[in-house]
Amino acid sequence: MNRDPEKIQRRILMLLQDLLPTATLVDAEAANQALGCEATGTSPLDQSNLLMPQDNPSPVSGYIDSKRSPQREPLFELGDVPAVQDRFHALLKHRLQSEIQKNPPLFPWESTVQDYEATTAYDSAEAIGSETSAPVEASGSSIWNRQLNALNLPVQVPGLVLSRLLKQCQQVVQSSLREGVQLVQAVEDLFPGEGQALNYLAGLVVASPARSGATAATATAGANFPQSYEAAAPAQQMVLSLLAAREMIVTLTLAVSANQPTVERQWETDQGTLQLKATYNSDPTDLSLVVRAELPTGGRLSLNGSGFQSVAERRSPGSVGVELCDPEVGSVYLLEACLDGDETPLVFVVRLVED
Amino acid sequence: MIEACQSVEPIFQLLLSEFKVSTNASEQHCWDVADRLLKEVTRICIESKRIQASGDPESWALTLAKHRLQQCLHYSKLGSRRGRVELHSTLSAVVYRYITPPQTQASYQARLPLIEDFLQSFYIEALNAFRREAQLLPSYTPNAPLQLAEYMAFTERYAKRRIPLPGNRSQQLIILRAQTFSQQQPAETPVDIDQAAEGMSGEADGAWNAASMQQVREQMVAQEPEPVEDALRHTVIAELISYLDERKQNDCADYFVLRLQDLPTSEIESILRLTPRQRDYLQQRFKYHLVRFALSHRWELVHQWLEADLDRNLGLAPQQWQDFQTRLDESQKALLTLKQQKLTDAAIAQALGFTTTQIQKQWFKLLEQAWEIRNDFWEMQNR
Repeated sequence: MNRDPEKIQRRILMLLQDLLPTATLVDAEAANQALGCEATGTSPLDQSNLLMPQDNPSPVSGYIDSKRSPQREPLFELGDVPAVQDRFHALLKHRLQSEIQKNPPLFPWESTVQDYEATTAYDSAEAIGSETSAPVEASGSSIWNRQLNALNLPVQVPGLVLSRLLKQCQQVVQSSLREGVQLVQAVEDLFPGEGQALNYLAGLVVASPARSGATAATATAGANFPQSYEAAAPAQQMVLSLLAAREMIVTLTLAVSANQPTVERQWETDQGTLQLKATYNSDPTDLSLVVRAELPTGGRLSLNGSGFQSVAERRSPGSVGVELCDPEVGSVYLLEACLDGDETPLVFVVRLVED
Repeated sequence: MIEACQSVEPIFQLLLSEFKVSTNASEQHCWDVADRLLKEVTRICIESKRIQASGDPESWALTLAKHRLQQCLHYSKLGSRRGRVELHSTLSAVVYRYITPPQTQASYQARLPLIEDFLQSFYIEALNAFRREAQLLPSYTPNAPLQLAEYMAFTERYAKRRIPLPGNRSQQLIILRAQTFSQQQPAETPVDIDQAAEGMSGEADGAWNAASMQQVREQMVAQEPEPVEDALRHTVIAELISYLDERKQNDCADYFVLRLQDLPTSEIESILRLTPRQRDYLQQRFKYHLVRFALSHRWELVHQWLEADLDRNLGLAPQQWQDFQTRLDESQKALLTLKQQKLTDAAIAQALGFTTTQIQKQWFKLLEQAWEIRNDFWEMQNR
């Protein structure tokens, strides 16, 4: 290891210089302009009209490398600075976990991933289903499904149906189709060949009042609902599914406007409650869309528009925030939340609507 | 010496009762694991000259035992599947940089199977080490949840044992193994490591280091005085990272950390799950914040560390410094003078009749100009 301070310093200088000269053209100007609006934290660089210098080693730094060090040593001892090392490990660990979860390692004496069920007389009943003795393969279901228990439906719909609907709803919610069409698309997989009936029923569902909050139990089309989903007639099952899809789409959509700039959402997961708050700032000098989330575990939040993305990630429970500058009225922005313990994100949309 | 660790019965009772309360394991399993942990701790206390010299081996024994207990309960709580994912990802992250594919350029995808192979052999080594050190039969394998947790906790500790190297340095055992695996080490090294690992069975492991951080730090300082530049460099990096985090630019901080690992661009993209285009944006954003950090937010710290602070004429050679000054207009000159007098921005703003923000903008421009002069000079030198 080269501990010559002079050399280390030069290398850091090189890193900075590698970055700063190209930066000074555009970024420094932008940074300078932005100095006045520090408080807003807006970053002009989220705009897509910037030059894109390549990140590959520039000819200059390549030259330096080959001239200075006969063999290319690891560029920076900086990588070993504790603050850097810890973060690097945490970052990698987090990244690797998603691969490893899919394919957990076997220990030398194992031929399959065993769950080491406790088998002695001391096992209590509560041990069954606890972390240590839960069947290993049982973790297939998504942590996001917890919210589905809280859906406001006149008759309970089986979890399997709801989780399929949730998948579909996350797709259709991204489209700009009319509500009725969205609903049909969300449920049509469940009722193949029933397009016509679904279209008709979707019309009824759309016309019925939204089932939010207190109005819930009374305001459904026929009110003569069966005892259970299984016992329901096909048309009733369709209506139930359409209602469930509507609830999901409503929950997954955060519509903000100049007059209603803030919308909040909660989503129950196996890990705890995910809370979201989208805020549209329509002040022309500071046009922005900000989403803040309270994550019940470590996780990741990303807000995507055409050609840009704002991502925030943390490795412990707490708040994260993402922001887009200059959002456009009429646009739909994808908001993905990912929590530790389930690599599949939950997709919301933030719609910026006209008043 | 041995009698110094005699009063271990209370520690044993503590371990036993904690296992009984916190796990569903049988009395026998709790007893066995508590006994093995206690033996490991006792051996460390007896073998460690430092612990003996401390005059208080009982409290050391208690600290070490509690640490092992926590590790074991941690894995026990996670259970078989999540526990192994935790262990595997922890160790993979530690060896990641050291596992390099032969011939081809390292990439995220190329490293993963190699890390997998490496860790498979490491698990065998750890199992053998565990059998040997716990005096178990060579055929012993964990077959109950608590035993599995015990093995996983042991494997993590074993991996992180610090092995002394020539020149007062040390390295984690698993990193030495990874280097051997990637053939970065001469062939005879493993033998030395084996001997060292045997002799060092606990003295330098993670628990010890965590527990006696202060002593270790003092010793490191004594061995290897940290140059001022080093301290500054650590500060600059740590501050830049927290600056980015505070501004919710966690992804920029992650990107910075990966850049410092000297990883190829494509590998950084894989790790961050970004397309080249997304990484471009991220890089732009990082640069933007870096410039603000270096020329505005913490300009003093950064310039001090670059040996380009005001006391050193912003790092400019005498001729450059003169040229620089002649390019300034009157108000810029006044600004420079007041900055040299170490006045605050607010005081300067008042003196020159500007707002603080205007002063900061002006100063940013001045530093940028100096930066460009140094830059041109650097490029000329290196051409």
